[in-house]
Amino acid sequence: MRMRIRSSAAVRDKPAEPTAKPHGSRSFARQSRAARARQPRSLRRGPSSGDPEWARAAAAWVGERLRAVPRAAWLCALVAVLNAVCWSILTPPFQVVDEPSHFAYTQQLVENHALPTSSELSFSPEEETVLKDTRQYEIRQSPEIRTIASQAEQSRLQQDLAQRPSRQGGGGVGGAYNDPPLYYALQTIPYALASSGTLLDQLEAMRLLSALMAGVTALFTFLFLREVFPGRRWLWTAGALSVALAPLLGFMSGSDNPDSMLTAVSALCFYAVARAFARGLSRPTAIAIGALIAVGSLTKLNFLGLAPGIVLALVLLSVRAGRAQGRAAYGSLAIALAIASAPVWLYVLANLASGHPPLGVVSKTLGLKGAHGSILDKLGYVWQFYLPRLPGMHDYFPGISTTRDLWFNRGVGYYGWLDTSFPAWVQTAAIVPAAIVAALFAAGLVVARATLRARLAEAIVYATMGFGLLVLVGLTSYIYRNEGAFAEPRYLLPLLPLLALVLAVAIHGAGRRAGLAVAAGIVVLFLAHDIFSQLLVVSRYYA
Amino acid sequence: MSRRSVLVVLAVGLAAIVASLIAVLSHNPLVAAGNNAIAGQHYVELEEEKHPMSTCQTAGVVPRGTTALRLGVEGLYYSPKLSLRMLSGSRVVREASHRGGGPPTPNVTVGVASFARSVQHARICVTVGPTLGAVRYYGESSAAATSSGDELAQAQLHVEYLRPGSQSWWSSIGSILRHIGYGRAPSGEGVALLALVLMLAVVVTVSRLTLRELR
Repeated sequence: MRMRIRSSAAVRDKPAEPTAKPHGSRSFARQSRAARARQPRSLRRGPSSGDPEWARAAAAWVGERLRAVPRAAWLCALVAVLNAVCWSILTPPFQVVDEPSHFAYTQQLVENHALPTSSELSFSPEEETVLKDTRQYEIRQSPEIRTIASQAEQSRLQQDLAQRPSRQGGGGVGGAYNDPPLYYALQTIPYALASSGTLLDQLEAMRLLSALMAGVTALFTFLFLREVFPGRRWLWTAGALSVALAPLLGFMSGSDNPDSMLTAVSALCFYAVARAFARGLSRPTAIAIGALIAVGSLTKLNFLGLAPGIVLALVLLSVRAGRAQGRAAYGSLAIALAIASAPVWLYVLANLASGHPPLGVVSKTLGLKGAHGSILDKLGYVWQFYLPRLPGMHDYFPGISTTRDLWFNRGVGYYGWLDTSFPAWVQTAAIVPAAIVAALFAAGLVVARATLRARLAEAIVYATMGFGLLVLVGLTSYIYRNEGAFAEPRYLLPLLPLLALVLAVAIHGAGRRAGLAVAAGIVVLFLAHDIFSQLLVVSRYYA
Repeated sequence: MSRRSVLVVLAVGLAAIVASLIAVLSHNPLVAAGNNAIAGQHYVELEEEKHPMSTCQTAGVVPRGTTALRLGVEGLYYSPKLSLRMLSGSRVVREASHRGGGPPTPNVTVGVASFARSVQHARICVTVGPTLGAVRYYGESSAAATSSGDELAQAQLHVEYLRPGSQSWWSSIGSILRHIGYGRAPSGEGVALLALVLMLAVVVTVSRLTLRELR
């Protein structure tokens, strides 16, 4: 089913894909055949060892698919990359939350050829030298203290690094210890490429790889919107540009942090799910979604919050496809789930083989060790983590409104080691545009209610993906509540495609003519937010 | 018509950004103009408190032009809710408050209406909380406190008075550009200029894309 939001003055542009047909119709099998027919003949045969023709055909097919991506999507990706690179320049080394730990993880992989061994801090002498000479420990969470500002300090840093301190740490990487290894494995590439330089060169190279991931996020947000709102180019561009300019994405992707890759993989997932809803769940699509779940799980455990929604999508789409294809559709589902769960089984087997609990360090996160309290306690906590306390609930967050003070205000700007935020008047002023967008979004839902009803299953899937992540973050905060409240907007970055969706619906809610002006206004607003966020960071570290 | 409206919004938006930039950079950043003579290197840590805690203490001389107070209060997980009253004798000269939930940094900055003249022998009354987790009060412990029944009275808070400095951001741009080039790779002043060029490229690309696609 490929529904469009209705608009009285709708002008349908060139369709995203000419083969798009409604879901659930008998045309599904024909679509699959048509899609298959578009593949090069040699590709349809599949690979055979030593078959250069197949490789060439595959490369040609990939090239063709890439060329089919609209230029606007590439430009949105370019904006995201440039923006993140700019953030990587403006943010001092290791002045992003947990960046020393993430760097140490990669260094451990390369220099010691092993996974981290503990959450203790036993960084390499080289990293400790940089942390000391750049005064990282003094600066972080002390907004009055600036970064090094004299030639003498710079010379000392350079001289100390010229001594070539050891790059081998003790295996303890701090908070990154619990993270899966995929992101860090990828970061070994820029680490190795820049290994002839100093640690600072390596860190910047790693930040650039993260910046590329911001481009992936913007690109697939564009494609996601194209699947959801076919024929409405302005919505794709406005939504994707807003994401590309989101300062939090630039900030996190301008650092060495797995959140950048998690956000990119999540955008890919949203796109794949939207594509499957628009065109049906073919076997390659099912395999791709399964693989994405596996990749996301190996990137950061927070991805598990999205997984239930994606699995729900696979089930719904399989049931739908089953009407046309019969049992074959469920075969695709089984393959997808097997691929998706492969990392979990491998992890369990590895833990059992090494004499650890089956779920290893994840056990605590999942609450098998640390989560005390009843279900009602947990529900009450997660509710208050985001929303105002209801009568009768225990007050977990005394003195503040979590909705306003933790999520909204921090969403306006929360950089560095969670120590840099806008003045209170900016946070208050930000309520105005947020309220306007919220009102337009509500209007958009009303305008598109018929479409929403028709695409309810798809909407439920997106809502489940978002809800799953919110619950996961809230429960993690509950489990570790004696160690802090994990109300950091960066944990919600995987939901950026949903933000783009909300913005697109809001633009639609303004009507066709005013919608274009609203879209331009939203893009300018995000641009302004980004520029002033960068100035805020500059003033915090360098003024 | 639609394209024109996009052009107008874009032009007005970019003009507003430029105007805001000029306004912000013309502004003089806040600098410390004085303090209440209580050292802020040490702290008193109090347990989580479910009810607001109050204390009144001497505040020394509040310098003329003060527009913000920086108080040595740090929440474990986020900055606590805080309100203050500044008194001259028995007269309340300023009242201000700070919403909780800010960064868990060693101090909280609270804006106040500018002091047209300095205030001698001022007193400050601060109410903090309720809090989640322990709270640190930077300053000195007070011997007189425990009998009052209010935990916060155990601490004499360090207070700094902030007012706009004599130099605007414009005049600091050169040193900021140099500063950005330290402690990183690549290093040097050119790094900041590279960031500027990148952001200009972003602005141009966004503008062109908006004009081309939003129609």
